[in-house]
Amino acid sequence: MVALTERVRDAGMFLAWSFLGALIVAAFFIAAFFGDFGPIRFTDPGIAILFMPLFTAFILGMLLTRYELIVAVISALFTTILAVVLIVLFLVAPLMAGVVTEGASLQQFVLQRVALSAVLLFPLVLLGCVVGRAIGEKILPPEETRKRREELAVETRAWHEQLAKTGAKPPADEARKP
Amino acid sequence: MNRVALLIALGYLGLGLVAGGIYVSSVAKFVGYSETIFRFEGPGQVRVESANFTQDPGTENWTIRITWRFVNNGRLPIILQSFLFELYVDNRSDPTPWYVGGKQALEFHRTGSFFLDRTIAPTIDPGGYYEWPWGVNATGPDTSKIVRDPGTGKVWIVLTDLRIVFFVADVESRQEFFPSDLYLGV
Repeated sequence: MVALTERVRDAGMFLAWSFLGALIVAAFFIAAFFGDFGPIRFTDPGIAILFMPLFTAFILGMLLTRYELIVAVISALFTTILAVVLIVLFLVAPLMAGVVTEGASLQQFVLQRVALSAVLLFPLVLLGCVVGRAIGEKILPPEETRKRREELAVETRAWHEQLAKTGAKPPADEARKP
Repeated sequence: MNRVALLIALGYLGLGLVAGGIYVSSVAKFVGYSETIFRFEGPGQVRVESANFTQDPGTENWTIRITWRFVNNGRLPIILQSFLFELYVDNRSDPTPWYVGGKQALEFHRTGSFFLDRTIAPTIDPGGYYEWPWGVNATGPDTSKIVRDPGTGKVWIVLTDLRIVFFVADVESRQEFFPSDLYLGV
């Protein structure tokens, strides 16, 4: 029961962090790419388009340190797909609101932007996520990993002390003898 | 979760909230922008509010006054940068429709327009309108072509080649559209 609850919680956290990441990536992509419509204007939209997905995915990766590496990769894919979906929703919002009529040019416009955003975002999100997870594992190890490491350190120290008391040398030192 | 991780998670959550605000605001503005253009380019949004043709007594001269009305039924303001039209007076004693053949070339013709810088161009607020009075004192030999319709007693005018250039709010993209021709008896 506890394992199931933990699994559901893990899945929920994974989805929540990924969705939040997608929202951040999509919002800043839209604000930079369609500058006239966003509440903030970037002096250099290119930097925002390149930096924000990388930064967001890096943080996302750090938040996913308790998961396997493959989960970080899946999260990158999931985040990119969600971000592209949010960008598509932005593009077709006038159509959904019924304030424009659909035309061939709109379809072409949407397809071009979708292709561009997917091609731009996925490598950046993937890179950020994997690097973030790797660094996160080093500097922010999950509680269980940290405890395991501490226990291992205590055990190793105790073992060294035992060896010191008996006067024996650690096997590594003995191995170095000619 | 250790403190640094908690701090990062809170920062990430905060960034997510900011991004949510940016996303919703962008969608709302994009929808408002599209709706404003869609409605403004719809029928009846650019129309003649009033038109008067007055012949100066004892002369062949005419005083022509046309008031245009531009209606903004959208959600964002419209900046009207330029407007252009051609005015023809249709001589209805010739039963040929005004658009057939070279009839227009034989009729009374004037051009009306304004071209303004975006910074000083009139702004039409959402739900509001802008009226632009245009007038001309027609003198010269071609005024004889202004003929009232013998049946209705009205002067029939053709307003054609209408062209409007406008901006929506602070969006940089320039919009251009060509309203339908108007044929009116005044």
